[in-house]
Amino acid sequence: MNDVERLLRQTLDDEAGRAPSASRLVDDLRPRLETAGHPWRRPALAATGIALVAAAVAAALLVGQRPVPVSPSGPGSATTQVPRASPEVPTSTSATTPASSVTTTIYGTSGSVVTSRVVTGPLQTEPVTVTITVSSPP
Amino acid sequence: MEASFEDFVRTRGPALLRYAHLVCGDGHQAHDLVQDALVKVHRRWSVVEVAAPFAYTRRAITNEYLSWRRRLRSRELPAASLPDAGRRVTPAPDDELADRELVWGVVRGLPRRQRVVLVLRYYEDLSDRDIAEVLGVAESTVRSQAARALATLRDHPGLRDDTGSALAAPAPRPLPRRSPR
Repeated sequence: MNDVERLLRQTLDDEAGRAPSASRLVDDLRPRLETAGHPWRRPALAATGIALVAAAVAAALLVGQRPVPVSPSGPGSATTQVPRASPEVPTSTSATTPASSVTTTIYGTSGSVVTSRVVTGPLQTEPVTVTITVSSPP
Repeated sequence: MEASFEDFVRTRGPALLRYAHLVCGDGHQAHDLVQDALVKVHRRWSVVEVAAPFAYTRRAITNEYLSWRRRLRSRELPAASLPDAGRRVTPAPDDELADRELVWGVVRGLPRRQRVVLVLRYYEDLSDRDIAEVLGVAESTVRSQAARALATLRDHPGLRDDTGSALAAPAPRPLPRRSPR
């Protein structure tokens, strides 16, 4: 060790002795810990958090189950974006979430089933776009 | 506050305050620094057992001290000139007290990261590898920071002998000499 390093060690040792006393540390810390706290341990905050999450999940489920209105009147096509994995085009769809297959049933205006098909594809976690094309009979 | 955490603060608080005091150079700021770090440690303390609480808290203090938020808050400005720049000190035993004051003044004027490296190396006796881990940098970065800091000390006019040369030529770094604090 050279002189500078030796002097530095001695200086740091000396100066450390001038550090503030730790006698008040616990007392000073206590109110800060109570204020900071643990959100997951506070019953009121936890209940609020759970309620918010439940509301968000319920809203997401409702949006996912809502029929998407696509009504081409006559030949032509209509496009709609289907939220997540439960597209109902135009009136009925069953799917589980998350889904890798979606059953789409299209009803005629009298309630008769026009077509029903199962679409299998990759897991849908993002909104998907569905295009319905109505053609004139040959 | 959990009993184990309170015990930890009571037993290791003084050492944590000494470390904080050396890195920030101010008693009040050291107290705030340690409290801020302990609040963060306490959040983790309750979730999982902290394996090495002292090292963990020391790291939290270091990160807090080096964080840009705290830099903005404290608005510390580097000194335009180092203290007692014109004073020449002959390294005689009776002058050592004056030398230490001079060294402390120079250390306080160093950039934060260099100061932390010096304190961790020469007060906490950590190896360069451990210092690198605390700071989240490469070992070579630690060595270069330490070299720059020591060069600043050696080049200080007040720490040169009568011939104008530094107190001593740089030597390889010795192994830690103290037991853990």
